[in-house]
This record gives sequence, structure tokens and C-alpha cells, in this order.
Amino acid sequence: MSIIDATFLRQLDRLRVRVRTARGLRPGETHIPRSTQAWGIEFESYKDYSPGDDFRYVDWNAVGRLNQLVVRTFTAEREIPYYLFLDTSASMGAPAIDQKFTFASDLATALGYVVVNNNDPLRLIALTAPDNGLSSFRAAPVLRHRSQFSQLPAFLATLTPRGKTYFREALRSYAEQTREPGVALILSDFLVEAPVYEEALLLLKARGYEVKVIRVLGAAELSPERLFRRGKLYDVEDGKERWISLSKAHLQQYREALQAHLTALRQFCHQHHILYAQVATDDNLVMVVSEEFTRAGLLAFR
Amino acid sequence: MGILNPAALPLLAVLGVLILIYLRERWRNRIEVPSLLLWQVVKEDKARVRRFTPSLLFLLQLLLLALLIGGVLHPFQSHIVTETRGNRHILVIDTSASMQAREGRTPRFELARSQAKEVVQSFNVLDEVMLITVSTQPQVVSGLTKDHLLILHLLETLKPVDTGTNLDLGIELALAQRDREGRPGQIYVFTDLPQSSLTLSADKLKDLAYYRVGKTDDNLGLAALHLHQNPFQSYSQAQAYVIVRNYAAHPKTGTLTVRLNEKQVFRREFTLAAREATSFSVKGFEGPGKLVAQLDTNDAFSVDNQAFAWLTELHDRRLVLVSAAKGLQEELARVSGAIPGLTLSTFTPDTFSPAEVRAQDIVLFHQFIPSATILANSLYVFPPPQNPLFPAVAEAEDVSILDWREEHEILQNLRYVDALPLKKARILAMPSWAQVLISSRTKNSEVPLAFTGEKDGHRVACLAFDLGKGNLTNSDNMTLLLLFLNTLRWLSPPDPTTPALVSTGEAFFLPPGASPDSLLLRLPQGEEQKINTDAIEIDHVGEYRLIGSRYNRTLYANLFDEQESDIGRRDDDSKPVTAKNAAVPAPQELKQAVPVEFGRMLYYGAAALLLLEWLYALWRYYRMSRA
Repeated sequence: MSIIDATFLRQLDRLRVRVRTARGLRPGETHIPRSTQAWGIEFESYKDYSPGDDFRYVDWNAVGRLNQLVVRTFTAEREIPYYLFLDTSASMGAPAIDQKFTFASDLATALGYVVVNNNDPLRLIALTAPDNGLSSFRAAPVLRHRSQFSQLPAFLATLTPRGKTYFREALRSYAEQTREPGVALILSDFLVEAPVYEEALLLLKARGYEVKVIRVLGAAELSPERLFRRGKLYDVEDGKERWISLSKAHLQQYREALQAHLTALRQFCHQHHILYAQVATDDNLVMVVSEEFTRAGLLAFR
Repeated sequence: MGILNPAALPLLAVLGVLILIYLRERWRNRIEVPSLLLWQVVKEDKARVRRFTPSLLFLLQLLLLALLIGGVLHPFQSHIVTETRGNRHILVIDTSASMQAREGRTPRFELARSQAKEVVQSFNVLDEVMLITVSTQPQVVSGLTKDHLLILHLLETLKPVDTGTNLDLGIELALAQRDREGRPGQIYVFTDLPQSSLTLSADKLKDLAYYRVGKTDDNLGLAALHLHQNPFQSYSQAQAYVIVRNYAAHPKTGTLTVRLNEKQVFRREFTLAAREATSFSVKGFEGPGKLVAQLDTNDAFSVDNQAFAWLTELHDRRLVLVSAAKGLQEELARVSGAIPGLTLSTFTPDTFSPAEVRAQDIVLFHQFIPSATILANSLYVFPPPQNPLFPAVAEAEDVSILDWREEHEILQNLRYVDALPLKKARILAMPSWAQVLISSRTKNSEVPLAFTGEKDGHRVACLAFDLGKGNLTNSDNMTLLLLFLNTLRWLSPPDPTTPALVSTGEAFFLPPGASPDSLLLRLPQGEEQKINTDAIEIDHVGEYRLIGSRYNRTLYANLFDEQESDIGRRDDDSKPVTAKNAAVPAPQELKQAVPVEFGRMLYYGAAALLLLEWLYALWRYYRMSRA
């Protein structure tokens, strides 16, 4: 059950997504440092007059002192397109007690609110299994204003975790169809081989996206002894089975493998200037959004 | 330690079922994980996972099941308890007619009762006593009880009856009761019979405390009252014989009076020498009615001084002959003409109709079997070869009679049965309801030549040989005529209103249709009692009367019992045991293992376990809710 309520949303009003390089083509409310434009509110710098510049922005005092036509330039303000990629493969729904998908949906709702609250366009893309030969993603309509925010939970409610992870194919497919890159927020458990996610993330980077990775982990993934001691493990995506007796040594082996997988993703993101954040389902969502994400540099106070 | 209900042992298999359920769930259940990617490093261990390893929940369920099954098994723990137990005493008291004989002024039964009371009073308070009376049948008056006052009270209420005795059976019953449950006991017998008269083995008799009462032999009694009147004789032709016997070892004088309907018809004073008997003939009766023989004498035993009989009025009987043989018709006409009260109606098979037959008729079918059921007593003579009732198997000639039932009423007092002229006979298939009367034999089996039985509530007799061709009235064949007449007498239906003669100690069975619920029985003593069963026990000499709305009958009960009337007892083996001589063993202390069942405790344990589990689950839920 979602914990998003009015109180929580009011806390989110103070936040914004911290953006480093991404910017859109349309004017917006986000100040783009070190970028100028010929009109605006916040003075940025001067430039030599060029034919066609608006005479209203000629700084006549400077002309008097320098005997040269100079024109004032202003800090650029652009809207930033946000793309929220949500993994809806079956692995997000297992084990059921973790409620990983519900947690990820709540995170997506919270981040989406933060985005549209800053009057930036947002599109949620569900990374799904290809259905009858169709594309391996489902995209929600672009939300441009906070009044449209209610469409986001409604769309999320239509999603259920199922099928295999088509992480690489889905990201590539969507990126090829999109002309305007922006901020790509990726919510996933990343339980795929490293080359798969590396290729996908690099593809987005290459297309000009500012990629931010949020890895969602289930509590039972971190501590599988909560789930079982011995039994037949069933991979919900490919249907394979494996008989495991969870001795201390085996548990240690699993933890080491998990840690290696986490470290590999983190290091990859660090090397490629991709923001990486990791959350667990037994974390408090409010704390995650308001503290963990700001500490990680994903969000900032307005 | 053991179990009382081993039949529930198979329930233990439920424990195995529980283990199987666990294993099946273990093997079937799969744990869903998002990916096996991270588990590839962990070595697969199928054998270990599939191995049964009990969990806490399983152990709890196993314990719960074990407790419930244990409860069903009724386990017990043996405890040794010491019990002080009294001995068992069984009193067997003879209540037959001879116990009414007086010794001086005191009846023998009173002497026996006094001795029994003394014996009971000598018992220890913990002793258990059983009381059995014996006449023709033993009867348990009181089961084993420690209430000695009750036994004394029951002894006071006992009365002797006018019947014979079967003391052997009573002692057998007492022995069986004594040996029950393996506890020692003592049997006390109070009777006037000498111990030598018992037919039980010496082994059974050796432990008896035998109290014999009575010495006198002073009895002059009626040994028999025979009234000879067959169904075809009138009361004026009847003849009564009264046999009187002196059982004393000295001469006795008495007066015999015979009354018919309270009117004296015979009186004779006589003297009989020691152990002698004589008979008196009385005849020329003037009417039907109740005949009472009364012996007036001064002796110690009065039960056998009176006897009853009934003179019946001659009723006309009709013999219906259905035969095509002229010779037989003529012969039977001559026979019936010689028998008073017997009329003959003759039909041929063509002219006969079942509607012609009345219930009181005797029907003779000669070489003919009617198709309809005949509601009267019937005699079938030489049935035709093909008939549904007695199918003929074969024909036989010059058959010799090899066997016959001489105790049957038809053959009683009939000599020379084997002299019957049987030139030609038919071998008939005997029906299941019939019994052989006269038979021959072939190499393989018995061949019935005459048989009798009862079918549809009527008597049926069948002769497989022919009566015709002048045999019946031939003076050379008297046996055949007597057999025929005896058969007619046996087939004559009794008059249901005629009083019945019974012997004391026997039971009179009510006829079908006489509902005992609506009947009252008036005893010879004048008391009336309701009847609950179809059999009426006849215990006293005299006149019983059954009074009902639809059924009334008078019964005359006589006692003609040599053993009871011969009240004298020789002293050669009589060494009456006194109460002092009879060793009364002291109460015994017994140590025995008493099983104490604790199956119920296991049920309580299971309930407590369930309660604890429930409380634990509640506590956990409460904790989680708070967390």
C-alpha cells in the first residue's frame, strides 16, 4: 500500500532534482549556470553588439565609458525534460514479502511530484516485457504541470511486475525514439549481468542524457535467511530452480556475490559520472527521499 | 503400563502421514527469488534440502497428534492396590414338593430355611452371598451381595412349590457362579435329597457344604390318575384308574374318594402294606365334568393326595372321504358305523369341493390331491404319482418296514408295526415340514412309508401305501385298522374349550391369538395375577383358570412324581453338616494390579498445548502490531 499522502507531498514541495548538465530546448524555470541568453531576469555578462541584437539590452553606461556597443546577457532558464524509467520485470515483485515494486512505485511518485512541482516535463516509462511483438516499454503521457500529477499514480496503478527484464532493449528503444534528451532517472533492482546494464547506461549517456541510477533492494535480498533456511529457489523471470541449503558458508558466499554486484554497479556509475543511489525496501520512504537522496546529490532544497 | 484399546494402534500411522505431508510440502514448495544470478556461487545441495528435518511447528504438531492418539489408545499405568475382600457364599435351596413334607409338625423347608439363616448369620460382614432356589429349574433369587439382611429377608419370603427337583442343575449353576472371576467361594446346599442321588462328579461335589433335612417316609399318595376316554367315546364309556402307593415302610390306611362335579361317585377305605401299591377302577360316569380323586390319610406329605381329570362330552366327528375306490368307501362305511360319534361323508374327486370341509372335520384323500388348500386336518393315502404336495419318486413292491417312531401318538401301544401288509407303496418326496413315522431303507437312503407334520396350522398325515382292497376290515390285518384308527384319533381336532391337564413343573403355552396382555391367571390358591408371557409356569397342584375377554381356559395340574412322593430318605450317606462344621474362611487381603487409565490426561495435555500455541501466537501478533 502506498504511503504517499498530502503531508508527504508538502515535504516534497521544498525539493528539486539536482541537475548538472541536462537542459531542454524550451524556456523554463531552471537556471542554467554559465549559460546565457539575450533576455531574462538575472544578469549574467556582456557581449559585443552584433547586428540583430535587441537595442533594449544595450548597456548605454558601458557604451559611454568604453565607446563601444555592448549588450547585457542574462542567465539562461530552460525547462529540463525528465524521463523516469521504472523496471516492471517480474524480479521487482519477488519475493512478495519485500514489496519491492510497491516501494519503487512510491519512489517514482515522489520523484515525479518533485519534478512536476518545478514545472518541468516528466514522462514515466515502464520497462516491460515485449507484449505480442510490441515495444518493450510503456510510456505515460508527458506531465507538464503539477495539476497533471494525478495522472502519474493512476498510470502506476496499471503496472504489475511480470516477465523478463529487457533493460537494454527497452532503454535503447526509447532513446532512439526521443529527440530531446534530459534527465534519465532509472529505478530498478539491476539484477542483470553487468554488461547488460553497462551497455544500457552508456547508451543513454551517449545520447546526451544525464543518467541517475536508483537501485532498489529487497530486505530479503539483503538477508535471505529471513526467507528460508533450505528449499527450492525459483527464479521468477526465467523459471529455473536451484536447491539451496543455507548454511553459514553459503550465506557468506551469497553476501559476497551480492556485495560484488552492488560494488560493480556503483563503481561503473562513479567512473561514468552517473549518480548512484541505493535504497532498501525496509527503509523509511520519507527519510529516503528527504535525507538519503539529498545526501546522495539526487535532490536538493529549492 | 499398557493400552486398553489396541484397536486404535493403526492410528499411529497418522504420524507417518504427517511426516509425508511435511516432506511433500517441502518438495513441492518453491521459494520465489528475483533472480538466481547471485545464487550461482552457492553450491546446489538437493539431497540435503530434500532430507526431512523437523521444524518446531512440526514437532508441536507431532506432539499434539501423539497426545490425541495416545488418548484414543486408552493407556494405563498399573498400580498395586491391597484390597480386603470377603469370601463368596452361594446358598442353593431345594424348593421342590418333597420339601413340604412335615417332620413332626415342622415342614422340611422350614428346617432348611433355619439352617440357611444360621449359616448366613455366621458369615463375615465383608462376605458376599448369592441365593439360588431349585425346583424343576434353578433360579437366582439374589446375585452376590454383601447385604446379609436382604438375604435373610429373601429366605423368609421363599416358599416351596409342588414340582419335582433338578438339584444337579442348581449345583452346576452355583459352581459356575462360584468359579467366575477366579475368586474362591463356598457352596451350601439345603435339600432333603441324599447326596448319593446327585449325578455330578465327585470332583464337583467334594467342596459342597451339604445340609440334608428330613427322615420320615410316612406318605400315602396318588401315583396316577388315568382316565381312558378316546375322542370317539362318550363319558359313559370312559374308565378311570386311580393308582395309590404306600411309600412308608409300614402299613398305611386311607380313604379314596372320587368326585365328579363335586358329586361323590366312588369311595373306598383300604389298607396298604409297606411300599405296596394298588389301583382302583371307576366307571359308569353319568355326565361330563371335573373328576377329582382325593386321598384322605394321616401322612407327612399332602401334595400328592389330590389329582384331577376331565371327562369330555362326545362330539360328533365327520370323516370326509374323497376317493374313487368303491371298495374303500364300503370299508370305511363299515368302520365308521362301528365307531360312535363318527359319521362318514363320501365324495369322489369329481364331486369334491373344498367348501364342503369344516374345521372340525377329518378329511381323507385317497389317491387324490386337491388343488386348493384344505383348512382341516387331513390324511392322504397313497397319493397319485404326479402331485405337487408329495411328488412320487418311484414305485415299490413288497416293501418291508424297517423302522418306526414308537413314541409317536399314532404308534403308541401299537405292536407288530412291521406286520403291516405293504404289497405296493410309493416312494414319496417328503416335504420339509414333515417327519417320518414309518420308514424302510434302500441302499442309499431312508424311504418314508408314512409321515406326519403340521402345515398351515393343521395336522397332516400321509400313508404312502394303499388301504384298499379289503385290507382294513380283514381280521388278519388288525395292525392296519389300529394304525388307521390311531391316525384318525391323532387327526381329531381338540376341543379348545376342554380343560387341559398339565403336570406341575411344566409350562403351558398359550395358543396363537390369545394375547397375554389381556389375560388374568387365577391360581389354585385363589390369587389372581396378570400374565406377561406366552408360557405359564405351573408350580402348584390344583385348578388354574385363564380369564380373558376372548380366551378362557381351565388347567388341571397334577403331581405324579415318584421321587417327590417317596419322601423317605435313607441315612447311609446323610451326615448333615452343621453351620459350625462348615469352615468359613476369614476375609482375605488381595494385592492386585489395578489399571489406572490416563488417556484423559493426554487429551487435557493436547488442549493445554493448543491453548499455549494460541496464546503465543496472540502474543506475537500483539508485539508485531505494536512494532
